[in-house]
Amino acid sequence: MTASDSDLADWMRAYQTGDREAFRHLYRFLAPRLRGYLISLSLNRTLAEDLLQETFLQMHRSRHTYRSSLPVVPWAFAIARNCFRMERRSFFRKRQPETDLIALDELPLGETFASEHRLDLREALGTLREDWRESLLLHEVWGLRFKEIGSMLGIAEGAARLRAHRALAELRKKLHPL
Amino acid sequence: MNLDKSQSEEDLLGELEKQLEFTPVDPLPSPWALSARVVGIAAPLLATSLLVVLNLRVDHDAVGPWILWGGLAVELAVLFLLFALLFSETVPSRRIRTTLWLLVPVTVIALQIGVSQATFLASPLEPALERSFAAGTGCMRRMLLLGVLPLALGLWLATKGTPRPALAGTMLGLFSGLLAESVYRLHCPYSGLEHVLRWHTPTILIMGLVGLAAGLAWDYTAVREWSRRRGSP
Repeated sequence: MTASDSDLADWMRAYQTGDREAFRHLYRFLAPRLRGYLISLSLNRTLAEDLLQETFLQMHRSRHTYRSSLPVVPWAFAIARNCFRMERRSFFRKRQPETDLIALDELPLGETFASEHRLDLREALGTLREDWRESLLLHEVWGLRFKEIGSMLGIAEGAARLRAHRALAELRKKLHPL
Repeated sequence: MNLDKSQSEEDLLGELEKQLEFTPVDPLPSPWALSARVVGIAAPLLATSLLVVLNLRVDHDAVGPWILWGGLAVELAVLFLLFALLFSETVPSRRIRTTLWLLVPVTVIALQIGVSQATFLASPLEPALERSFAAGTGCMRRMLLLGVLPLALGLWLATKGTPRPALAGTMLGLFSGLLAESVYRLHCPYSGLEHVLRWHTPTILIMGLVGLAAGLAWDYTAVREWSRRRGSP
């Protein structure tokens, strides 16, 4: 599902007034994207699906924090990120979930990273530094601007750009070794 | 695979619609409005209480109204900006850079010392040596008391959205400490560096630690609630 920034903002405003249909539009737009993002963070499909529900529950609880002058996608992604971090910190989870790089196959990478070897791409992405991978995918796959990424992660725009650049350089090295 | 994915997403939508209540909510006020609520409520209330219970500093003629009230006004203006900076984090996608936060405590202390020294230049009063400990502990006690209201108000507003409780608590503590100290300067006649660095500045830092403790407690509660909700044993 595609939608413009103004559509998303309209749906968000309507959702804040209690409009169920607006929530459905937002969900259908955001769910696949948030699911992919959570997969890229957790490297585990089951956990990502679990956290997707938590993310929407948290979005509902935090819907008052959205202000109409701001873009919806970074707002939603930030909530998903907070849910992932909370899950990681939750102290009774002594056993960390296993990583499952196959989950990365669900990300729409084909358009962005042309590689004949899906396996190699998956492996290369999965072994990148977390913060580099995050900046790269947020920009290249989900289209967030570096300024938005920086604001979401609490870093300078330049730092977000540098992380993505380093991730790309590392990916190229792994996929096309000399 | 795509059909399974779409189906499971539709199933989740159905589940969510069953669980959620779609009641209208008011968007959170802007960071400026939130900041105005803290500074606008706390500053006049604290100043009035201070002047009713205690009195205007004995050397207020020597200090002069420009430095006395002007210094307070400058500090309140900076505090208004700092509170607004913190409250901007109530929007999840708006995190202030960590490196910027490192500059904030330096700014708070530098401002406090700067205004005190400007006041001292106008009226260089020092407590008598035998009274300096009693005077200092009295100052500290009263400033800590004054700082409780803005800290409580700030924490209450911050819990409506801020995702970084420990940071929010620490900053709110420092800001509340500075607010209390700037209002308290309307009464305390001692603005010399020795007295300020020994009693006033540490009070601001103590408020920062109190705020940090409150933030950590809030964070701990949030993580526990998350674990409980997720069904952890």
